[in-house]
Order: sequence, then C-alpha cells, then structure tokens
Amino acid sequence: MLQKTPKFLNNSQMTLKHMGSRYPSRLSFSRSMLRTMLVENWKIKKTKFDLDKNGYGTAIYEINTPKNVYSLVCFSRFLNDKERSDRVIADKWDTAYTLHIGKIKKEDLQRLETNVPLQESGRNSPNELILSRANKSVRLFKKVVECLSTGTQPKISEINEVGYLMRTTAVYGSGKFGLSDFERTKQATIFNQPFRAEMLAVYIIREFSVDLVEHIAHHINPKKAVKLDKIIKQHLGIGNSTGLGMAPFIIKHPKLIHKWMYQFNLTINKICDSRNLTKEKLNKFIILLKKAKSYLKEVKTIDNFQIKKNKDAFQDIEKTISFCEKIKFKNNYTQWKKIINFASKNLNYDAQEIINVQIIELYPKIADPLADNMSNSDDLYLKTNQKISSLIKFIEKNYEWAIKINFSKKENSYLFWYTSEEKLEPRLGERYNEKGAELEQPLGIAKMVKNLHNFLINHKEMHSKTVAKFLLIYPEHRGIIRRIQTLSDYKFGEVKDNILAKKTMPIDMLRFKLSFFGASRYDPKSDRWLRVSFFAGAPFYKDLSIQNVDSWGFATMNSYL
Amino acid sequence: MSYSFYEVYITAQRAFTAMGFPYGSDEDAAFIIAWLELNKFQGVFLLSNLIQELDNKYDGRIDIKNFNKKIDFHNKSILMKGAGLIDFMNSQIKNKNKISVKIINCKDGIFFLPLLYKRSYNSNLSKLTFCDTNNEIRNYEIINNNIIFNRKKNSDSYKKNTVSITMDINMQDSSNINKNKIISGKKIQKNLSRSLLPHSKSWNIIAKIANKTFVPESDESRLKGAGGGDDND
Repeated sequence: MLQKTPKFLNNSQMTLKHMGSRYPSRLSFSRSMLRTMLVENWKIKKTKFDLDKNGYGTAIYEINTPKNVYSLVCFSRFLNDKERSDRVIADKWDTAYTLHIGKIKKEDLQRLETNVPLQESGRNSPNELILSRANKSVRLFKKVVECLSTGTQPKISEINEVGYLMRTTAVYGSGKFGLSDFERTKQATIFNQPFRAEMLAVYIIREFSVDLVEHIAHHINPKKAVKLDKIIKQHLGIGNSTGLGMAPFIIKHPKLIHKWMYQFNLTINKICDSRNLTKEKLNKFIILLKKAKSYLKEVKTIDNFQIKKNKDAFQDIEKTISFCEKIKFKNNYTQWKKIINFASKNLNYDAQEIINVQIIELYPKIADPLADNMSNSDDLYLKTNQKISSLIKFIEKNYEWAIKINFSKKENSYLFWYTSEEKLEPRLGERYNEKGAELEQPLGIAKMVKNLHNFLINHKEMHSKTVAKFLLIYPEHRGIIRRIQTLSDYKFGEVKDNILAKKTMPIDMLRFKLSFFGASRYDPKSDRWLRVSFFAGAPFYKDLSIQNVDSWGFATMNSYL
Repeated sequence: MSYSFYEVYITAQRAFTAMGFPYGSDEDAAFIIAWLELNKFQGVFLLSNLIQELDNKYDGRIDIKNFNKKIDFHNKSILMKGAGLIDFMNSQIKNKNKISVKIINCKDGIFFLPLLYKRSYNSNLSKLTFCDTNNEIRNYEIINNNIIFNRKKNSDSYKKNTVSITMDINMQDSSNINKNKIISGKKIQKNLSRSLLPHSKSWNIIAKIANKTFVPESDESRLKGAGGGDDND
C-alpha cells in the first residue's frame, strides 16, 4: 500500500548517523505496553514464589487481562561469577524466563523447568510467547542485598551508577526455538503489536529483580531487613545487553521499520498541522527540555564517543531553551514548525530527536493511537509490469546514495555480516583479513543495488522488457528487485548507508531499534554491543496510575521528588 | 521434534542458500516448503528427497516462447522455476481475463500451491491440476485465502509430470461438485497453534545443509566478531 510521505521528512533520517541519535518516545513499545496495561486494567499477581534463602527456585507472575491469562515463569539458579557472560555464546545464566499463554499447569511447569533454563538449547511450544534470561549486576545486586539486610537503603546515586539489578541478555519471541509465531500471537493473544509481549516480560522481570533482592536480604537478617524504598526502586530499570543481531533485523524487516518511522513522522506532522504553539504549551515544552538536559548530565557511560554525544546534545538543548524563551507570540500563539526548523538548521541529530520526542510528549491524543498501530506485514512484492527502463530511472533517483559508492575501494566493502556456527551468534568480519566472507549474509543492500544497476545498464536489450520477463531470464536478481520495488512504497524502509564500509558503526542501528523499544541510558561497550536500561524511572505495577504511566521519559534521580 | 513455522522457514531458506539458490529465490522456495509443512503436505520430506536435483544445480530460467501452448520445465524443480512463472502469469493476467498454461516435464505440482495461495489475496481464482504419484488427478481451486480440493481417478489419461494452472479474474467461485475446503485462514491459525512436526530424518538432512551457511568457529571470530569484551558490572 502506498503511503504518503509526511512532509517534514528529513532525508537524513535513515542514515546511520541519524539512526544512532534516536531517543525513546511515547510511541516506543515499552511506553505503549504500559499504557495498555493501565487502560485494559491488567492485573499482575505473584502466584508462586518458591525460592530458597539464596534466592534459587521458581516464581510465577500471573497477568490477568480481559481476554486471557498469561504467566511469566521465572527460574533462578546458582551461577559461578566466572561463568557469567552477556554473550549469546553463554550457556548458563542467573535467571531464565518464559511468558506462557494461560495459567501454569503442573505438567507445563515440569516441561518448562527442563527447557527454559537451557534457553537456545531447549524446546518451547506454541503456548510460550517469550523466552528470556537475565544476569545479576554483580556490583549493584550485592550492594543492595547488603544494605537491605542491615536495614538501610542504598543511595540513589549508587543505583544511578549501574541503573539495574539484573540485565537481560536476550529476549526471544516470534517463533524462535519453538515459541509461538507472531502470525499466531497477533491473532490469538492480546499482543497484536510488535514486541509488546517482549516488553511485558521485561517489565515483570524488573519486578522480579526487586522481589528477589528483597527476598535474599530478608533471609540474611529477617529481623532487620527492609524493603527497597519506593523512590530508589523506581529509579531502577532492567538492564539489557544488546549485540549485532539487531542490525540484520533492521535490514530484513524493511516494511516494519518503515511503519515505525512513518508513525513517528506522522505524529510530528499531525501536531504541526493541527496544533498551534501556545505560551502554555511552550512552558511545558521548556520543562521537558530541562528534564532531558538533566538526564544528559546524569546518565552514566564510560564510552568517550557517547560521552561527547551526550555533552553536545546537552549544549544544543541549552541553545534550544534560549531560543524558545525568546519566541514572540502573535495573537497568543505561533507554530511548532519554528522550533523544528530551528533544530534542523542549528542542532546536532541527538538534540533534534530530543526535541521531536518532547513535542510528541505534549500530544497524547495524537501520538497514542498511532503508537497502537506499529505492525506491518513482512511480505515484499514485485511490480511485474514495470519496464526495466523505468526501474533503472527509479534506482537512479532513489538509490543515488548507493550507486555512487565505489565498491572497488577496499574500505567500501571492508566488512561482511555473518552468522557464526557458535550458537548462531551474529558477527561482523573483515573481508580482507578474516575467513568466511563467502558465507556473508545478503545485507549489503547498497552493493547489491549497485551491481544490479550496472547489470541493467549493460543489458540494453532488456530495457523495453517488463520486470516479469527480465526475471524469467535473470532470476538471480529476483531478491534485490523485489526489495527495491516494494520499498518504492515504503520510503523509510531502507538504511541509506553502506553497512559494509569500514567506517560503519553498527551500534547506530542498535540504538535505532532500541529507541523504538523504549530503551534509555545508552552505554556502548564497543562499536558492536552496548548496554541499556528498560523502564528506568517507570512506576512499578502496584504504583502504576494514570498520573505516572507516561511521566518517566528522561527520568533522573530528582524525578520522584 | 516439533518446530515453529519460522524455524522451518529459516532452516529451509538457509538450506536453499547453501545449495546455491540466489537471494530472493531462496526465500520463495523456503516459503513453499514451510507453507506445505504447516498445512500437512510434508514439505520438509518432499525437499529432502530432492537434494540431489537441487544442490548446486540452481536453474530458475524459464523459456516462454510457447507460453500459449505449453512450457517445458525440463524436469527442473518448481522450487527453482515456480515463483518466476507465477509472477509472469500475474503480469499477463492484468491485460487478459483468463490465462491457462500447461507445464510439461514438471514434477511435484503441489509446490505451486503455496505460490498460488499467496496471490489469492487479490480475489482472483486460480486452479491447479496435476496427476499425483498414485495416478490420481488432483484439482485445487484457490480463492480468497481458501483452497478447495478434489481428486479423481485419471480416467482422462492426464499425463504424468504435467501441471495445468489457470488464473481467472472473473470467476469468483468454484463450479466443482463435491467441494472439500482444505485450507482457510482459520485452519492456518489452528495449524500455527500446534507445532509443525516435520519428518525427523528429513529435518536432519535439511538442517545439516542449512548449517553450511554458518561460518566455522575460530578464536579470532569469537574475540572480534561480536565486538569483544564481556565485562561484568
């Protein structure tokens, strides 16, 4: 289906640099999941908490929704510190989880107990939606146990240093390892939006991390132990370690990526078209910018590149606040476009994105319905009657960024993306220095488009033929033509950069996807993996209300006063 | 062992890649196999019996000089040529009301069924007819995400290894007597709610071929490939 491109489309939005500057918003999946939980009045109940004094055992959290019951089953096991690893190639974890459709029966629990702790090596059924695992943050988990068991609270600044008690190292869904296929999940369950079930699981794992730490502290010293203070608790997120797997996802699901970006741009578009900027709104906007500024000052990372990005964004947000404070109003209102234009001309991408997400924050009636429509089919299609001459023109217009790359230069085809035999970990290799390039995945879209373009130009006899006729003779071009033709209807589907180039920063793609998930506290550990937090600052289930369900963007240590 | 649709699809797709199917054709062929497996047509088993014919022998070209009479597949698999032919027919139907093609030297006519089902969303009627290994004529009518099936004895001396496909943009319903609806959206959902149970020996053959697409382990790959480091905080 052809979708009209929003008029504020910035052509750079799908370049790696811009993608690596995105921030979570009201449209992010963690935000929309939590809103849905509140609106639909989901009830979460701990129905089993069978842990020993060290916190090892099984816990079950039941989620009662208007249509069905779901169960998050948690398995906690002893793990030697030396065996703790965030890598996909790990085979043991502190805790393992599954989100199951329905209440847990005895026979289900036995099956899950055998399989879930094995993660990728176990088997799941279509009644399981999610498979996940999490490791303890060694520093913070011990510290908080010590504090609580002696009747004291950790300092919020200590919590802020790490941000979470446990971090997930994978959250699988959509048919992996025998789990329910998304085609079924979206029909048969309430989780009809992408990653909604994943977000629910992660939210409850955060609850479990606090229940676990309090349980252990209590058993160390039942008389003195205290529960974690509500404010300190709220500042805790649930950590997540993320690696290269997210990058192939973005290339392989272009229509879905388009949908996310389209909805985001449509939200901004609708706001600018239908809402005037009043003094009152501007004041609220400035408060939100100041909150973002505090977050940028407070957020922890040891990565120099990220530190600089945060610092630059901080300065540009300051500039924006000054600009906003000088805005003159005619008849008590002006236009949001003024601020957006100022940002695109004067600010770095991080600051531009912060401005976008904070504008969206002010218009829930526009943003929230769009946030509940983020799904798209993955089917790509051919336009069989298009003439090859027309296809060439289209490529030259829309893939100019790709066909101008000189791939005979080593630096432009330096990298290759592959899947390792070792637990199928997604990896990146150096074509001229490492083995395995012959097994690279077809993710270098720019190179494939350039090769196709050269081929078509050199086969003049085909220019008057249709794509269908061309593919009868040259079926080897089927995949790339289908992609190009489909994405002519989905303008945000393509990453407009060469991801085989030596200078590629894969974490830019990771950050893009994580922003739509709703992750914050970006903490790169290399150019290929990073740690983030989910739900940092979000109310816990028992405290969730209409007042706080959407107030936790850019949460800082002072957000709860 | 039981698998999800995704697992059957991705494993088949990797196997096709390993066997030399180019990008795009590997996806189409994997869809055929996974869809057949989902709908109890033993896709994985059928594929495992064709490895000799497919491995490093990809040939997706189709000669359509005699399109109005018959198309010769030269005993090359529909897994290689089927998607291209259906796309070509789709391009032609836009100017005509009805197209019929006869494909000769073409085995395993069932492989066309997923491709025709996929295009049935646009409401046009498709018919697929072939003679199976039991010398029975199988006739499938595909419209609006539904497949209606009947079979009869091959009293018409319908040639083996011949497949007929008709696309008709005017006909909205089947004229067949003794209709038996075998696939519908509801049925597919039901099948998804149960696991797929491919023939285990066949699955192992396909999985082993799929494994060829993975880069073998090495220390360098382990250290550098995912970005190195693994600090415990």
